[in-house]
Amino acid sequence: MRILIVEDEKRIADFIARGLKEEHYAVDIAYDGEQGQFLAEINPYDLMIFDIMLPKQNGVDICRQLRLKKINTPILMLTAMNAVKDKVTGLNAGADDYLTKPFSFEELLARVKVLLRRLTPNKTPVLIVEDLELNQLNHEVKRTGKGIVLTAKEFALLEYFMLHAGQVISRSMISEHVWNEQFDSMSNVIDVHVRNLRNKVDEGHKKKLIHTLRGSGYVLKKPA
Amino acid sequence: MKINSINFDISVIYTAILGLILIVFSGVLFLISNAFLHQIDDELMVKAQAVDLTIRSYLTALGENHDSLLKAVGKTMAMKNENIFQYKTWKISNKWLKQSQFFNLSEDYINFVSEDGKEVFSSPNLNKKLRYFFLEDFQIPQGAQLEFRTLNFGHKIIQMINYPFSDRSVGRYTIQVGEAQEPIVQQLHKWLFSIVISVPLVLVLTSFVGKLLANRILRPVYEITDMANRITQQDLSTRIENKHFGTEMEALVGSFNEMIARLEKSFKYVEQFSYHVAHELKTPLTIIQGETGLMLRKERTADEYRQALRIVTEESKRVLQTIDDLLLLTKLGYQPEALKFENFDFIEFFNEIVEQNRFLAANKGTAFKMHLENLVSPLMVKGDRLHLRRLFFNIIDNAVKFTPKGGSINIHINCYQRKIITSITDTGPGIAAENLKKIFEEFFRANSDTTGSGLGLNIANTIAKLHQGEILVESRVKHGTTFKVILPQI
Repeated sequence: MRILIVEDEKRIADFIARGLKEEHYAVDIAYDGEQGQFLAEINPYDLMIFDIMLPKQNGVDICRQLRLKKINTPILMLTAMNAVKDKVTGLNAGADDYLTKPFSFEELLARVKVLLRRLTPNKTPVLIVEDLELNQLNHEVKRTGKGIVLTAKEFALLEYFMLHAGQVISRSMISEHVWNEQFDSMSNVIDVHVRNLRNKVDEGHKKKLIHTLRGSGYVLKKPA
Repeated sequence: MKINSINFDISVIYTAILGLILIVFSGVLFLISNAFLHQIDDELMVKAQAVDLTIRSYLTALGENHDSLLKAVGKTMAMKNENIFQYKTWKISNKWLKQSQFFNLSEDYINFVSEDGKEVFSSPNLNKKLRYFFLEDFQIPQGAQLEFRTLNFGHKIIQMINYPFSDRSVGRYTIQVGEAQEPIVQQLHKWLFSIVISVPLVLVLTSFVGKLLANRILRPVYEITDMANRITQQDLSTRIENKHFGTEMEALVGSFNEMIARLEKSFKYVEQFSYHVAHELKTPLTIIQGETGLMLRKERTADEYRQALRIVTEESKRVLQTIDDLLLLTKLGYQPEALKFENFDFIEFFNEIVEQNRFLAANKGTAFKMHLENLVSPLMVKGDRLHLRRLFFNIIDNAVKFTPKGGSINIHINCYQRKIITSITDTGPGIAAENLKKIFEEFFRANSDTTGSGLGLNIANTIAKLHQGEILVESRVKHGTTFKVILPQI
């Protein structure tokens, strides 16, 4: 899951990014409205967090413009304003949720997860494919009831696979949704992580869930 | 209708003015008709005297006895020319004829009555009915006296005089001369009468008309009040519609709208200001809360904790700084008397500031140079040392903050036309032209990286203004910025 943060206060952007990375999300940061809108338009984010008061262009305007361009990624607004009028303005511009400063990190995280869950038809935090279970809240992964220990990147990768179970997932999709801007897409990092993940998930099980489709990518599904 | 309303005032004044006009008018009428009556009375007096004289002349000519009196009265009433052979009275009758024609006596009523009212001689035009009125209540009082009376006879009003006539030989009689009032006098009387009668009615009517009038005049006031009532604090953008109220009301509406505009502006300012304050205070609190929350989610390394604590300390200082700056601004804005003005040498004062700031700059590796241009100490100013120090500290602090390592800060002091100009030039990134004019605004930051309350230059500018001075700023992007603090020399 890849998240964009647009926030001019470096320290705020910084702790949000650190916290989200700990939760296995890929995070990009923009420090002003222009850069934020640019990133939002070129990258397929799963969620965007906008501050309202931004240099060059404010959060509400970016929101409005993205919606006009049919970019329907969930948007969470952050702001110091807590008048109802301001909330309404933000929501009318196309934001999905609203959080007033100061906020606790736990609340931010809870809202982020709710917004991300909206993307999938699955409304519970537990993703299940066959006998493989992934809990998006406590990050527990189980196969036939037995716990599997994954690294942050492996977890993010598996979560993405499970959210798109049965669909063909290309390397570029993985690089766009699981990694952030700094990712060098020419490297074989994805293949290495997928191989490690496959070892942990499918090793010792008769039914293999993660399959490689030569030339096009990967798919997570029960074997035919 | 309330007693103390303009509406009531207008009705009352309107009624009072009309009432006054009616009273004055009827007074004038009264005086005029009175004057006419007096004139008639005077005429009657003269006529009665003439009649009296004529009777006496005839009496003298004819002999002083009762018979001749009857003849004399008869001749007097007749008022005609006599035969020249009646030589005794010819002259008298001739003269009398002329006189009576002059007085127009033939039109008047003449009566000659004895003391007991039994003997009556009347002029031919005095008919029986009229004679009855003439004699009504007639008593010649003891020592007969002059008396005027007014008789109402049908449509005629007759003014008459009782004129005593006495003669030793014939006894006491009364000459009555009556004259019909002319139509104009009667008309005047009628008017006077009808005006006096109609005054209460007219006043009642005019008080209603007055109320209508007042309502008509005041309708715009009611409308304006109505519209003004609809303007609330939440919606100060509403204005009173200036339709055809008349010049005076339009001026009022204009002033009213201007007042609302000023209110709206200050409300907006306060709103904007409190928004900024909230933002300035909430940002460090968000960082503190977020950072600590993140740290507490799980075990961290000592380095991570140390870093978090450093951030928390810095951000809480920022909150304090913002609060202090806000309090200072409020103090400068609303209690200028908080400034303690004294006279001191600016050069000496400024040297202290430079010494205090030199090590700050040195810490950052910035060169700090001061130039005094052909100045002789003392250069006296009148100011508050504490706040002037704050002014220069804020500007120098900014310069230090924005000047990169290896850059320099140059300070020039010179004096021109009794103004002390302190120029502080840095070699920082400069300020873009569009930001230059906003630089003294509250909470304006050209660069969001910088810490501080965003109030420093605003405070500096406010202090300069309180010293009858000003701060000018010039900047070239990528070359640096010059702040010029101008203070009056004394």
